[in-house]
Amino acid sequence: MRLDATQPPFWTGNRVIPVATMLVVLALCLLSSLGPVPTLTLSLIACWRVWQIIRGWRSIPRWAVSLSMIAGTVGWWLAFPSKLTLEPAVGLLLVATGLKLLEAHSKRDANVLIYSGFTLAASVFLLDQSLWLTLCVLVAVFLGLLGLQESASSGRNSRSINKSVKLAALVIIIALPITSAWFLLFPRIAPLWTIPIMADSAKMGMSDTLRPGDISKLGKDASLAFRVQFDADPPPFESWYWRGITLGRFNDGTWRQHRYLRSRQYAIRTQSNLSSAGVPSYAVTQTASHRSWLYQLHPSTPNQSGVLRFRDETYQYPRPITADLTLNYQLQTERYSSPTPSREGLNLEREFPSDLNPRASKLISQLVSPNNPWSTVNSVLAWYRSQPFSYTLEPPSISGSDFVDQFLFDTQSGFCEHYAYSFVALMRLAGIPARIVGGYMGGELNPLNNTIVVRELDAHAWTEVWIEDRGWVRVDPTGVVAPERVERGSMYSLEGTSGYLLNSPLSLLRFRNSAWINNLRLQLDAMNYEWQTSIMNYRYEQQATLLKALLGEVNSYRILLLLCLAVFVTVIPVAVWIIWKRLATYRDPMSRKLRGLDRELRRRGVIRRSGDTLRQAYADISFKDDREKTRFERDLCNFEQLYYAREAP
Amino acid sequence: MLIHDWATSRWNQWITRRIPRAAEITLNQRKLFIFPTRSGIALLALLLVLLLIAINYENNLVYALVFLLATVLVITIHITFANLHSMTISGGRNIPVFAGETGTVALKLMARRRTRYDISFIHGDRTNLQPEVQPNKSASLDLTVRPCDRGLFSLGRLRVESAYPFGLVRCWSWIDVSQPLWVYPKPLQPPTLAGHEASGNDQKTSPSQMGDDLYAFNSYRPGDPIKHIHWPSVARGTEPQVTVMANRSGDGTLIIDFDDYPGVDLETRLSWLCARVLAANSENRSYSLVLRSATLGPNSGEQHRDKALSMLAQFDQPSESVENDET
Repeated sequence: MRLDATQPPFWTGNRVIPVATMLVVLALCLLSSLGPVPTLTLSLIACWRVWQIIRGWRSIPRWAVSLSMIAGTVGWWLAFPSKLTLEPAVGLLLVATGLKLLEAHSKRDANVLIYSGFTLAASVFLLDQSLWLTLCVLVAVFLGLLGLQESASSGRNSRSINKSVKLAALVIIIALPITSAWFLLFPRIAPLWTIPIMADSAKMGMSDTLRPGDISKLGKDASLAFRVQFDADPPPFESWYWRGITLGRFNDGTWRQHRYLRSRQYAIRTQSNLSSAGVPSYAVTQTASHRSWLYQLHPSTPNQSGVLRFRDETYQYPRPITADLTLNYQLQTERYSSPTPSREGLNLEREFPSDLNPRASKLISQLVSPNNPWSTVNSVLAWYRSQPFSYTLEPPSISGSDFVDQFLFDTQSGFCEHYAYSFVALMRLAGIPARIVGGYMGGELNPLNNTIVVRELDAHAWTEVWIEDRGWVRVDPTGVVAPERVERGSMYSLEGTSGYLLNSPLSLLRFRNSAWINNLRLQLDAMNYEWQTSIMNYRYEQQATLLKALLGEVNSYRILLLLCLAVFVTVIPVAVWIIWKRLATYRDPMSRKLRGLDRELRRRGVIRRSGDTLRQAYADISFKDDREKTRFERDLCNFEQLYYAREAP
Repeated sequence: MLIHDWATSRWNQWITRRIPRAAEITLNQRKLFIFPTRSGIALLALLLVLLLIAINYENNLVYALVFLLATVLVITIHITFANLHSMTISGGRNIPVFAGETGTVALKLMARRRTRYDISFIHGDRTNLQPEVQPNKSASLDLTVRPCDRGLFSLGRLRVESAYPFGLVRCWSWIDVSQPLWVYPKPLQPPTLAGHEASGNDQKTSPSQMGDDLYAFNSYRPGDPIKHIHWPSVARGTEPQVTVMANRSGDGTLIIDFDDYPGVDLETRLSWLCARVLAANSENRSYSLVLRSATLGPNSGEQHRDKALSMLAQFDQPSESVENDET
């Protein structure tokens, strides 16, 4: 940038408002992902800056900036315990933007802030892709364009903020159709490299390990996990067990996935089998979890090729799910036989150290009925029912290796993971193969579009038990203890407990009991679903299908043609508008008359320069005779009379 | 260095062919250049990074954001171009100045149809900003210049640029508007003989005896007429001096003649003549100026002075058409 002393500094007056507003809007978009502290901090800094600049106060001294830099870094370090996930990266960007805003003083700083804003907008989309955030980001881009205008303008012309607003809006309106064309036609390619950054597992309801010390707090937020849409009527609520992973390896007090389940070489890639019509099918739209687990009802098969299928009949997407993803599944209704595991495989599901929990071992020796595992299962469940167990999200913490003993006989209060943990331990002590299943249970049916909304707070753990001639059978010990959790869903069982909806203070879920608010909530949710399935799921396959439908045959020539068409569709209305406006001056009777007189002048070899009046040009004409001169003078007088008659008030 | 010179001359040739010098220049697509600014290039780089993120995270909304901003960038090219396109810049007559003094060159700006904003005129290391040009109203922009040489001043190529509205792309042109600014010679007092002022007697008597005004003394150079040698100085043993006479005709009119100072280089002579014209004017005397074959006057008054100064400025100047650029 050339240094220019003739231009006033940028950070004066109202010019800073668009930039500050843009950053506040983006910080609000990140509220649900990063928590309230970064958002509040940035908003306060923005408000303070605007106030300070408008009031003409002195900017804060250098040492204060350095101090806030240290404070910001330390705050960030403390706020994000795990540093290698996406949220801390976005958090760091937010902190850096806030600090920049604190000390910004040049035009270049304004541009840096606006570009940070654009990057923040992209990060918003990485964390959440709902319709509302998209609209907010569009507003932020608009404010960014406004800010760019303010920063580029010399500030000395009569251009009002109205004009800037109009221009920014016009540019976005013109850009939208072209953007859509690009969006539809830009080739979707597979990720260029694997993304090492994972989502923060602390936030997610699901984790891939289960350890008593860890599970004192379960995800209590109402954010969306996935949506399910059934072709036909959905099955009854009791069967909404969305299966994700199995945990079968017990080691050092912690349940983990079996090693062979984590390795892809034991997985089978599914084929798409569109043929089987009449089979009930459903689509699951998962939000970006940055993990690859897929959730589905058991038993069902994905109607998509390339999905990894593991031996425990869980499925994984070949890549981490970084954006909303819809997969179709077919529900197996007829008698479904799960693949018989090998003897070694079953033995792995029996492993549990018998010496850790003496009281539990004693109990199971009383309850076990030899040669009839199913009656053992039932008697254990009956024992659970007979004991004063309670369901709570904030159980007393248990330490020590005899977790099962302490839970079953001492504390007797906990949530699904405690029950699943202890139940599988008891089964294995009885020599019955059993494993923990992690996933979600329940959800909310939106009658408007027949979709089931499953939230993070629906995260659930249950168990599966191997019965010789029935295969793996689902057993949910939590249902025995807290039937309302299984029958009505987590929202009913959790209502009133502290920490419920902790992360979403304004969630409309709080007002579920008001009929119209609930209706509005369901309406909004239906729109959001439409958005997510149509926009977010536009992938390679959908692109290919669309292009085939549009072009018949997909080749580069036709794609080019389509691109040209898109450009013309945008350019032609603009061109017509411009020509129309230009024609307006041609149609104007005065300028028509003037053009006629100019033509006359040119015929006589006199060219009227711009800025000259007719009379000035007329002085240069040499006339043949007086008659001609009089005629021309009359024309001139007519013109002037006409002109000034119109201009007079 | 050789390559640099060659490139400069080729560049000058090319730009002169493309945008020739004219009294009035209307900016059109032939004359306008456009390229992203540093901040535009930064945005492009940012968009590339965001595109990589979109691909790697398979995130359609990030794709959409990238395409939206890229389209905005493309639309900006048109808006920025339209801000300068069909603008007319012309030069007018300018008030002459003495060499070494500060003068102004006025440019007339005309915009058609739209209001134009924030147009910078860059000349050397000076930037003049025109914040606004209303449609169908001419705006005037004064560029401050400091010409050093007598004669017709040429501004040379002037860079007109604008990055309106977003500062993402810059549209510019190098224009060469002829804007006649005549530069008078710098007035320099002709040297007088040392000690001449002191002997007031001499000054009063001898010139009047000769019927001419003794105007100045010069060091002797071979070829000076013998009758102009100031013998007393030779007798004093100092460097021989030559008297320079201010001719005065019989009716008391001062004749300021180019040939009064033989052997002195042209510009110095003109500077001396200039000083004499100014002196005569301030004394309200009637004088005439003789520049080789051309003669002005005798006359007096402001108008006469301006004519005389113009004559000095225009003396021995190449005509405007063959004047070279000093970009």
